Amino acid sequence: MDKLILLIHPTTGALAILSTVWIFVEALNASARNRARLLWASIFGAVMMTVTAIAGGYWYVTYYVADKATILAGPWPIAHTLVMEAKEHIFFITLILSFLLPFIISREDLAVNRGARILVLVTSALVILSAFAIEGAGAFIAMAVRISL
Amino acid sequence: MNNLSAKTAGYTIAAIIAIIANTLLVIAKETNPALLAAMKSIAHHWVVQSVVIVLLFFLLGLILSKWPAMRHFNGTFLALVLTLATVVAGIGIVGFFFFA
Repeated sequence: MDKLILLIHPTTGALAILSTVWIFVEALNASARNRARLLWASIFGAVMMTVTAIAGGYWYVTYYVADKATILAGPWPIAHTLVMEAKEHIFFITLILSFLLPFIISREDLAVNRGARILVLVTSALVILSAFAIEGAGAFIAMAVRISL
Repeated sequence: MNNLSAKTAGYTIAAIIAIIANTLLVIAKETNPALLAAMKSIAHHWVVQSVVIVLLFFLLGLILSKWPAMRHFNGTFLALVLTLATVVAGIGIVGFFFFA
């Protein structure tokens, strides 16, 4: 069960990144025709990020304690003291930015409002960059556990 | 046309405040054992922090979006402030754990 939960959260995180890349591209070409697609992509991204928070959070508070002890005893203790500690808290920034996108897209016409379009482009870019950094941090932590065994 | 609706501006400012508050709460709980113990007495400190930050975003957004002055905010300006807040908050968390 713990392995399944461990696999779910990076998968749903990757789906959230994909849908946010989709938002970014649709916002670059915003028109009346893609307004519904933008809204659905933003809702899907926020839902996937929420599933990531629940699955990742459940794994972190339930199972991570054993991996933490392994990492701290191994050659890469920084994987916990810096990378995991930063990852677990920076994730909230990504989560809030994902929640913000549907609010902007549902209320603004991106085809005519340049400011709203820039806000969506910037918010989605921040979600993509921070989520990729978090995925990379997860890979680093997994490697630290592996070399510590 | 660059100005945002009150709802968009309200929730964007709520996101900016929640992002900064998240970093401040990390520093506060890691430097104040009493606060960390209080959070742990409720549930795991990560769970408590997640509930606090998400509730802060939604409640502040709800309150701010009803404020008519929110209609005067420009999307480009809020995009700039949101970027600055995200970068500063992210560097703040990484920097704190790097030097801790």
